[in-house]
Amino acid sequence: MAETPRIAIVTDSTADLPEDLLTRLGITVVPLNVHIGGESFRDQIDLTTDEFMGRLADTRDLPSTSQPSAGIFERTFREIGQDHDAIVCVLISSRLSGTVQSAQVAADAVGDVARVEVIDSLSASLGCGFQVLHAHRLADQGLGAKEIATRLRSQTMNYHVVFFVETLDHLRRGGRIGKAASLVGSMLKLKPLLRIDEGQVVPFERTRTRKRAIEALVEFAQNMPEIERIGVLHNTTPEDAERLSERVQSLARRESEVPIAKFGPVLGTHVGPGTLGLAIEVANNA
Amino acid sequence: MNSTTSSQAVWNGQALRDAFTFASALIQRNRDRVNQLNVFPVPDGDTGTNMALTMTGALEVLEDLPETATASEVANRVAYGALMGARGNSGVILSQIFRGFANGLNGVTELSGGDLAKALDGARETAYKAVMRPVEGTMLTVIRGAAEGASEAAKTHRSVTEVLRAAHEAAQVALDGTPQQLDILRQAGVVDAGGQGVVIILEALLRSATGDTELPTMEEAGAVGGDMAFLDMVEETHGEDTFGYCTNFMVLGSDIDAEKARDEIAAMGESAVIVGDDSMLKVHIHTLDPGGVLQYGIRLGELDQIKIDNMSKQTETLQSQRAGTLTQNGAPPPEPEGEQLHNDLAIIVVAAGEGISTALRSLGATSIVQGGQTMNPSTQELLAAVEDSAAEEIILLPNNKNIHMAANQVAELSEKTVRIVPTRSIPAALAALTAFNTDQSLDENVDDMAEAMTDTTAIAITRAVRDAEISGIAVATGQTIGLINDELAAAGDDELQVVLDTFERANVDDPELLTIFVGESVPDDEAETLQERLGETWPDAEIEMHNGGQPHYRYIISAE
Repeated sequence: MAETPRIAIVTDSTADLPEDLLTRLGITVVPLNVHIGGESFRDQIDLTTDEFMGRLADTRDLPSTSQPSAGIFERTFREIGQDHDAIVCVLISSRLSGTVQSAQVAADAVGDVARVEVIDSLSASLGCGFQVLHAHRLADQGLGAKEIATRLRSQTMNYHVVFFVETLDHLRRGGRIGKAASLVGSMLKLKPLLRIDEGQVVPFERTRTRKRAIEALVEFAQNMPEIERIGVLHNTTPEDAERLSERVQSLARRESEVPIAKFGPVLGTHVGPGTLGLAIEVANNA
Repeated sequence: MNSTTSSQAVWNGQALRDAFTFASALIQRNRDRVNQLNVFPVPDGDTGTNMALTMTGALEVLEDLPETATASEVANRVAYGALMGARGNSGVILSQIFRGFANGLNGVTELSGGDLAKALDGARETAYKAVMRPVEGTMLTVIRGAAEGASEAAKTHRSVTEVLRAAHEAAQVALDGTPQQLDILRQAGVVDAGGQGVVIILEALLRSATGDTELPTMEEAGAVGGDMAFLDMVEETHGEDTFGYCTNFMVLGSDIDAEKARDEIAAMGESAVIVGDDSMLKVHIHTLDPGGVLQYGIRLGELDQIKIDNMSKQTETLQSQRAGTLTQNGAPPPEPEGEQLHNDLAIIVVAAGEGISTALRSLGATSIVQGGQTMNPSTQELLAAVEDSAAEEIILLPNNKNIHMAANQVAELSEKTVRIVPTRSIPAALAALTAFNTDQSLDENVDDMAEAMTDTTAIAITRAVRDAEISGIAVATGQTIGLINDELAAAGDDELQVVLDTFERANVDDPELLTIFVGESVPDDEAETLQERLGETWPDAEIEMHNGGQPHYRYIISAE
């Protein structure tokens, strides 16, 4: 009988999975970097979401973010590679961040010691996080790295992220707005709903009030066929997140390991405070 | 034969043409009397003005018709002209009356009394068809009365005159009965304005037949303040001296030194006719600098009914292309622009006011047809906006219930796919535009937009244009009135209080967002005070204030 391969799962700090879950499942996190007020922080290591939001309120400087260096990935891969047969590395959309690129460079460099499958989740936050958890489950079932990677890559369209922002300013400044740029320039205040589609942020619907935006999130979920898991995303509004979660959890067939997640500093930089959203995993054949 | 006193038995094409021409002049002259029948005391799409402008459109196209044209040809031409020139719902129904009239005369060279009865019956039939849910007590009732009177008379009389006499009498009886049929008319103590217009047209036809074609004087016609008929008369007397810009406007103010103003304005151009008193001036002048004249006027008071025409020959071609598309403030319509959310689809929106237009464009309106409460765009203007658009699919937002029928006409007339989202206010348009989604089909968008337009409460603050008592609210001319979704909700002398009362009546519970468009006549400090007071009333609401620049309406507020 062939021995079950020892597969390590690696992700980045934007997957918004809680630390205790990551520890319990033995998932390694490579941090992106947040630059604020002339200082640089490793996301979630040197800077928690709450600290970040505090600093954001205190500083007039606009924060920025940067991908992990290839060097950090290489060091991580080499370390993990020592006691694993292969590494599956699930990361934030290559169309939102250069993280996948850094990881791929590192993967090529460590080819002599470790076999690494780098997977572009084409999503972000829990949309990527759910894929990380899926990878972990597949590894548990004894699948090899290649097989896990093939399955994940063919199923990226099962993961949806939809959210609204209080203002488009942050997305615009961060240059992560893509097609949603058409929303900018409105003379009137909008609370636009955005969606991650094929790895990019695209406009989904427009609303003018927070209440309507929340209704639109609920409707989005209600229109999804066969939801496996659902998670609520927020950064500064835990009560809103709680209420939204109560309304949508029943739409999912399974209980999510992460019913509510907080956008970390990196995504927080790009969406701004007050953001609320949903990450949805639909059944594979849906 | 040029009959002047004897009554006519039959009408040839020329006689019918003369009769319509007189009808246009008579309704023009009675415009104010009809306008005053407006049920609501708000500056609204005035029925008299709309019917008069529709008649003008009907007659303009007659000029291309040879003198020898038959009665049938004349009637058809008039129907076409009225269709294109129709403004407001009353104008659209009038155009349908002419359409049916022409149908009834199909192939007739000279019309007899019997032909006329048939034509009026055709008019009745088409008019009823033009309205989705016909309501009695309106101009429909009146044209029906006329048709019934005419066909009864035609049984015993053959002359056009006698049939017209019966039609006119029956129409008058029907008109007098309208307050019994419609509560709102009874409450307001008026007969139906559109019906009154129909009676005036029939009276004109009858008087044309009997040769009694002297126009009443302004006083006899009951002309008052807002009337511009005198200007039309002045314009008719334009001699060879046409140069520069024919500039017409009214100034509404107080303590105007009319004599001084007359002298000083007259010095700014030629052919000046300036009349009025210390509260109102009517100005007509040919000038090379209309802006200078307007600037002078605005120092005296509020400007209204501005109309500027370029009289120089070189621009005639351009002018005819833009026929009827001058905006209320005399400026040419802005170039279609705005964010192109969709390449094959255009959203055309009717609105007045620079700030409001900008806001609508920023939400995705492709082009704005100038117009609104007081200036209903004609079918032709709306159609031109549709045809000028590069898109094949058009969503049209009329933003006023009195523009709905013209918008529907456009959908029928255009080869393009035109869908109407029946918005009745600017706030409804904002909500509808917000719901527009580039990823959706035309049908999905129209459905979503129609649903979204009801999500907002539209509050409008204006000044009463006449005394009235509607739904238990007494209003005196000049008082501030508050409207909720077009319904009168509050009135009083203290504007701030009226706004707050209107909100109270609107039942806006804890609004999340108030979008306020400030009218062109409101000083900044007043608007700021209003914003503060609303902020105190709803500390949790986000209040967004923009300079809307709209005429007549002090504030237009969207509460969500």
